Amino acid sequence: MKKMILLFVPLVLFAHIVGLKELVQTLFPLLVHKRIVKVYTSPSFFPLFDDNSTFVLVEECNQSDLVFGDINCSKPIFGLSYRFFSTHPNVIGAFYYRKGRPQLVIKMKSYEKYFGHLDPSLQRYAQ
Amino acid sequence: MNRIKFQYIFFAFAIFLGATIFLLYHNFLETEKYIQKLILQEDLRELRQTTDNIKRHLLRIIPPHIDFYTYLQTHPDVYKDIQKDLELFIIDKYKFIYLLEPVDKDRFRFLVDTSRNDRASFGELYTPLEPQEYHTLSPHYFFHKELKNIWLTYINPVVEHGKIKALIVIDFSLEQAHLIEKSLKTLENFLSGLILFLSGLIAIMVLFAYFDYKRERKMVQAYEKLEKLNKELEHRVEEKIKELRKKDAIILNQSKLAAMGEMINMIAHQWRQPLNAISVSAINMQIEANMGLSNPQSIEENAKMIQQQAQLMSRVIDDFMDYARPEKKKERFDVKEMVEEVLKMIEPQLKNHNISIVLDLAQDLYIESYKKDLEHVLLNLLSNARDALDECGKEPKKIIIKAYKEKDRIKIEVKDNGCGIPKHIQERIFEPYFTTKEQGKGTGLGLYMSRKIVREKLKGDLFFESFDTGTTFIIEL
Ligand SMILES: Nc1ncnc2c1ncn2[C@@H]1O[C@H](COP(=O)(O)OP(=O)(O)OP(=O)(O)O)[C@@H](O)[C@H]1O
Ligand SMILES: [Mg+2]
Repeated sequence: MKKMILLFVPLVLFAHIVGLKELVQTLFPLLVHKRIVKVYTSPSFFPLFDDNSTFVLVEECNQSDLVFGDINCSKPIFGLSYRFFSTHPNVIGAFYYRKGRPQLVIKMKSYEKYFGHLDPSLQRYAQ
Repeated sequence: MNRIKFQYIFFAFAIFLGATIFLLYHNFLETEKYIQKLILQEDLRELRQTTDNIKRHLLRIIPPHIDFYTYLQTHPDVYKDIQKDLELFIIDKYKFIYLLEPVDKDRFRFLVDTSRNDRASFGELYTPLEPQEYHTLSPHYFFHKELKNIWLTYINPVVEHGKIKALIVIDFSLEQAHLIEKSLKTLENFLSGLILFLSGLIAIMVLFAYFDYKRERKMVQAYEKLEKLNKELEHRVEEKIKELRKKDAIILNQSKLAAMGEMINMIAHQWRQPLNAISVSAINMQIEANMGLSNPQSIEENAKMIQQQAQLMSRVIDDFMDYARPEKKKERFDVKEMVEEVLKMIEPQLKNHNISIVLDLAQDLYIESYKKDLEHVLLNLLSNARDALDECGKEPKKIIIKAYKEKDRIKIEVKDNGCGIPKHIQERIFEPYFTTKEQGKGTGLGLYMSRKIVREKLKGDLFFESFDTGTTFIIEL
């Protein structure tokens, strides 16, 4: 069911800003292969991760499974711009808008380094 | 009836109005669609020209048989030039102009991007929302459903040997078209509002017309009912009139009979004396004969006497016959003479009743009228006066008959010095069959017939004044 939702994520996202919350809720456990994901992010994104059953917000980036946002950290990072995505070595994926269209990308090289095998449903976003 | 016709006209007008407005609205919708189509066509033509120009430019710069990505990667200066060139095409309506190269089913790669703030890097992977729209071998466009139709994406592919080398993509802003559309929409809303308002109005009007019609119907029905009632009433009145006429005829007959009775009475009165005289003569002759005293001279005397009396009686009959004959023609006569003729008939009787007559008759009072009828009325009044004087019993009994002219009108008064007509019966004495006299004596038709004759035939009037000192009946002609 969750995988099904993911297929429509870009559309859903576009229709609702709330969509970003659903995206991370579905996407992050799949990326990290964990039921509960420890996330480090800037306070402005806290509301996206207020679901206790999926996320634990950590106070230091080193304690996290995944960093959300264009934040410099030694842990795997899920970025929010193409520039960051294409330049930072720890970035495993990113979500940003290009020409008004939402873009979800996963950088296979760094992803595999951290998490190994990518879920088949996400294969189409890999590069 | 007229109003109902007016309602039909009104109804037709309302329908006509409604139809006209509907047609107008329909026409407007068509025009609106047409304008929108026209604007779109114009935009598409412009897009086609722009992208064709870009295509020509690219094909001139980039040599054939080599894919754009490889060529641009190895020729950064050409990449820069193309980017600058494409920037020249940017206008307000073109949100983004960029070159793509297909990678797989869903993904594409940016070759050149002219956008100022959302510029993609060379070779950046790109997932559009409707990837299937981009795999086209000929110019193609589509609307962005998710972007609420404010964008149109125009794609003009650069094709070589049936393979897409690059896609020239322009994200076209429909804002301007939408602005026009919006104002058209406002107009449409106004028109549909107007239609709604008018149909409401028409509905109300029709409703009013309906109620008015119903009320009208009710009125017509009520009117018809009234008419029926009226007819019935008319019928009844007619019937009543017929009945009255019949009654009148009966009354006339009765009054004639009464008059005849009166006449016989008077004749009897007038015959009593001559009959007595004849009887006396006959007895004389018998006595003389019995005593042997009869001689030719005395027989002749007696016979002469009898003859005289018989002649008198015959004249009396003649007089009354004359009076009884109906009269068809007016004649000119002297009122004084007329009164005297009447008196000739009734005076002996009055004398018998001990009633004295006083005459006060103007000279040469001529009138053109029905003489017999007038005599009849006068006779009636005189016999009433006689009865009243008898009934009252005051002595001496006196009847004054006056005839004179006053203000062009001739008046004949019959005045008695009886006891007057009691107040409570005064207004009833002209009613038919009203009488105070004992049965067999009065019919109560005398005054009724007299007034009828005076008013209807003689065109005059009959009225009275009554006090306890006597009553005066006045005939006014
Ligand atoms: N001169 C009068 N004085 C007093 N009463 C009168 C006089 N003339 C008429 N009346 C009253 O009016 C009534 C109606 O008179 P009318 O002549 O119509 O009928 P009548 O005399 O009673 O009957 P008819 O004339 O048919 O014999 C009389 O019965 C009488 O009471
Ligand atoms: Mg009378």
